[in-house]
Amino acid sequence: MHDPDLSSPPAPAPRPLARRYAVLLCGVALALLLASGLSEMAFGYRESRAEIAALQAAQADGAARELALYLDTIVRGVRDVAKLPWGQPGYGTAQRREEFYRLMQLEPAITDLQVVDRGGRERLYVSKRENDREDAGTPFDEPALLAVDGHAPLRYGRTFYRDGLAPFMRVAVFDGAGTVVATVDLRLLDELVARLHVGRGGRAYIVDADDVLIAHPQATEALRKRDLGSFATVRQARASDLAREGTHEIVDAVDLQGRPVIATAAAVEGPRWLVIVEQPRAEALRPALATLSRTVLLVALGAALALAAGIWFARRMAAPIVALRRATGRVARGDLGSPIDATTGDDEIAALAHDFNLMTERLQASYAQLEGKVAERTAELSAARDVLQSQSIELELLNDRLRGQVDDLALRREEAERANAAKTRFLATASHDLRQPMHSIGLLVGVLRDRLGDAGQRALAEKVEASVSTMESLFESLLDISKLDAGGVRPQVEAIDAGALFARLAQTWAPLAREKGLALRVRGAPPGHAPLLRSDPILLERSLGNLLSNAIRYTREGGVLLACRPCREGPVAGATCLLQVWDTGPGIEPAYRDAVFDEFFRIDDARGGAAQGLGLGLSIVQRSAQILGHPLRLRSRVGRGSVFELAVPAMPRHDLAALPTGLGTDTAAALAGCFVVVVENDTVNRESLAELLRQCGCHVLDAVSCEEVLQRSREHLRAPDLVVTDYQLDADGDGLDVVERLRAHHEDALPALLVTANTDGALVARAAALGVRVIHKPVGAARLLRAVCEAIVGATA
Amino acid sequence: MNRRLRTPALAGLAIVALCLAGDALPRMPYRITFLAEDDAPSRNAYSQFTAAVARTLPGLASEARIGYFTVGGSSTRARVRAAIDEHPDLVVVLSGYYAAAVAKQPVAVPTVFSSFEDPLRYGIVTSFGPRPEPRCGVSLADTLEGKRLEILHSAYPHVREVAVLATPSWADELGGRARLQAEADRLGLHATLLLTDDPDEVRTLMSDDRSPRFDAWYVPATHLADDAWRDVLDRLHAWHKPNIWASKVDVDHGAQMAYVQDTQFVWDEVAGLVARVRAGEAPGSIPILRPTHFTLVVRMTPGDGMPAPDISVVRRADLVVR
Repeated sequence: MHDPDLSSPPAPAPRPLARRYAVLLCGVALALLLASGLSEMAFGYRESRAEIAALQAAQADGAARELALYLDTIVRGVRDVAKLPWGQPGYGTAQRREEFYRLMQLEPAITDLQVVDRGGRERLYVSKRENDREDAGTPFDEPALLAVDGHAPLRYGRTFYRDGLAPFMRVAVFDGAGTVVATVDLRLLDELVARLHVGRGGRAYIVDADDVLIAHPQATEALRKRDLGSFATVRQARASDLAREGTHEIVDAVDLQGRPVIATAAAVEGPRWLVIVEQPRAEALRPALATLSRTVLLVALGAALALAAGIWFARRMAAPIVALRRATGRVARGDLGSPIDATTGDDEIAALAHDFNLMTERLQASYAQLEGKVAERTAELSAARDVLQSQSIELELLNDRLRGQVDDLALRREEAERANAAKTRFLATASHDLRQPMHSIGLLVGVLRDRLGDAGQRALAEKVEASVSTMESLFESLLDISKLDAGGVRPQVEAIDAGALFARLAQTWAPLAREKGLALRVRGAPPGHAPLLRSDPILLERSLGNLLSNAIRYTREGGVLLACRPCREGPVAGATCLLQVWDTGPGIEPAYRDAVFDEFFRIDDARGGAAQGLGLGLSIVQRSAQILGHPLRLRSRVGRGSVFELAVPAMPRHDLAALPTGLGTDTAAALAGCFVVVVENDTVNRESLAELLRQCGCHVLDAVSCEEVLQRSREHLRAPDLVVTDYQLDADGDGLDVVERLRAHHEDALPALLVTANTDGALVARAAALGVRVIHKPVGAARLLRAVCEAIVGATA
Repeated sequence: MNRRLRTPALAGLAIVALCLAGDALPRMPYRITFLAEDDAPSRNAYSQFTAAVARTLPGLASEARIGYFTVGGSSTRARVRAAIDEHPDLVVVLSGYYAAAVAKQPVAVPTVFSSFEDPLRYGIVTSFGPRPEPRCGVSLADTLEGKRLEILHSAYPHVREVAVLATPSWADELGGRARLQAEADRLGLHATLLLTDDPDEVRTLMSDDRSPRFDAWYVPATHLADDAWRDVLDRLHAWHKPNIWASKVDVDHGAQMAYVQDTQFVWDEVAGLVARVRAGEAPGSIPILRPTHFTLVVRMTPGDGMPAPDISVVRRADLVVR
């Protein structure tokens, strides 16, 4: 049976449905309980605050009334004394003193009584502590109190302190002629406020019109002269002007010790005192806190019940779904034979269980059918697998054979490559060994020709020289082929003025064309306006020279055209120039258009005609074009002519004047007076070269070794202008070592030419690193002199 | 447990354990030393004080241990030093003389005092307001000499020669002489100071031939009034001489008048001050209390031979003893 656990990833552990239901139900119930409880607590707290406010307002009002009554008793006593007709018979000073003492006896808070006349002078003073005075006439020290009359018969004075500590206050009453001033000891108010009970821990105290504490249950507090103007209760009471508005607001404040209290203030008219009633906050809010505690307890109890009920309901609700989940789990594990008990209940869950049982029955049937089909398909797949296995064996055999053939081909390719390399080595060796004597012959013939006086002999010498030149050309071509095949040629790409290039080619090949009666024309490269090409100048000039040589060689009549045209087609349009060599020769048949580039292939041989070339020129052109990356194209029409085309990258022309344009025409004049050192171990070559240079007016120092040069150079007062050296010397290393030593000796960038038959690429690279130009033997006198001249002129430029 | 949390958690547990252990340990009682002489009035004062503590501050009475430490005699200073060397939490001393002795000790110990002497003059405190020394209390210094002479003069306008029986310290150290002379001069009286410290000498002094010649007598609040009242009153009654004293008890004993400043509040106030200091309030921040009530007591006993005081004085008297 199919096991789902093997083909599907394990299902994540389900989050119990009962828990989610429980969380939902309990959350809703708790939220409702919490909202109800919070609102109940908030309203309860507000109601408690209102009750506290009402209670404290009543207490403060009561205290203020009691205080007002206390003051009123004092004032009425003073008024009773003041109303009598003092000064009249029976109302003398003695009687007045007696009356004052009686008043002080009735009102213990009055400690002194004074009579002050309208002039503000004391007429009578009676005291409990001090000695009495009569008609002292001293000015009264609180004159503001004396502004009493029939309309305003009463004034309260400001608090003052006797002995610096004890608070007192004066009350002035108009007696019809002057003022009776009673001094009240405010310390007795301490007893009054001590009798006021404000809860268990509360208290009442009094501040005067200047917000200074004047009475407190703790008598010493009133002696501290504490300014309570910054207390919140006093500030609010002063701001609301209780006396006018009659409003009371409880204030959350701190008491004198900084403990939190709830306080209410009530004003006392007359002296503008405030009675502050305060109660510790914890005590005042105890009923509210008790209500809050009960509410919290009820909410907690309700929450516990809601939690239990929620869990019970959640489990009951989730039970059928859990049973269904277990059944689907059994089905998922492949057990289709355990139906759900759908006999209980008639709700949607029971209907779902019934449908589920029906579904499992159908699944069971489908599963059996599917198993049959799977067995059938499995048998078919087994047969197909056998066929594939046999085909695989055959393919393995074929593959082995192919692998053998590939190996065989690789062996053959290696053999071919070895053969090609042997051929290249043979060509290089042969050309090198033959070029050495040919070089000597060329030099000697040149010398001989100049010394011969007879015209016939000179003509003969010139023919010999021409033959030697032909052989040099042959060896040159062979050497080029060998170098190109050996990979020893590294193109030195630089900017080339097409105009100068075409001028040199025209100068070189025009004589030959004229000899054959052909016209050699040049197009598209006017001097000063020709495009600049990016290529190796030697390889490019050699390739174009070969093409021109070929064209002149095979054209009998008509002419040869050397043209430079910008490319106007293809992706390189505008950035490439097409260098074309047109001829009016016999043309090349399509069958030979590829073969003409093979080595030693000549159409005349194929046609059975006379041979005119070596068959190497186009091979060299093709190999050079491949190395340079210049596409080579051949178009031809038999009987009409051919065109060879090289696509060479062009570059924007900027300063053509900065590019070298070549040597002067008069080589001898250019070399006259130059000091040239010749190092050559071969005596014939050394003397020939020295003689050739002397004929051009050079001072020549020829030697076989560097030591000899250094020794003999002391005879000269100047440094050499050029060193011409062979590569292979008998002593002192090779020719490049000689150049390095001479440069070190003269501390100068001495120009040098290396004349050698060695075509090794490493040698060329080493010479290039030293800035030494290499000329491969054999080389003719004219070419050698041109190279000498270029080296000297290039160094001075 | 994470190693980084283990150390702070253990430290927290240790702190909690120490706090619980500290709460569980029995608290040290608050030790109060009551400094007084070993005599009956002092014992009475001690009883009054402890009764006031028990009455007004039951919580303090249960947690405090009030010890009676006797001082006096020639080695007062050494005894006070010995009391302080026991390092009490608080000293209660209801005598200006011994309060001054405590104040002179090099070690400042919290002290609650009451003093009939001026605390400033005696060097007990430097101010009645906030002060650096840890002492607070009640000043009962009596400066009513002038008022008493005035009452005596009002009651008996014919009086001119007044004998004043007092101690030398009252006359000089407490400034009684200066105040007395000034008021006598103002009232037109001639006050003669009869000074002694020895109650036995009072008897001799009263036996002097010159004593009966004074028109009236004034006995200020000194220990002579407590120790020699009987001898003095016997003579004054025999001579029918008007007299005025400073204590109601003296009138109860037979004196004719007394102008009294209230001292009954002392016990409750001293107990309250002890409670406030015990609660942590700085004694030096508590202002010095002073009496607020004054009482004129007049004895009216017809037939004892004494001249009756002027009716105006009797009418203004707060208390008339008959």
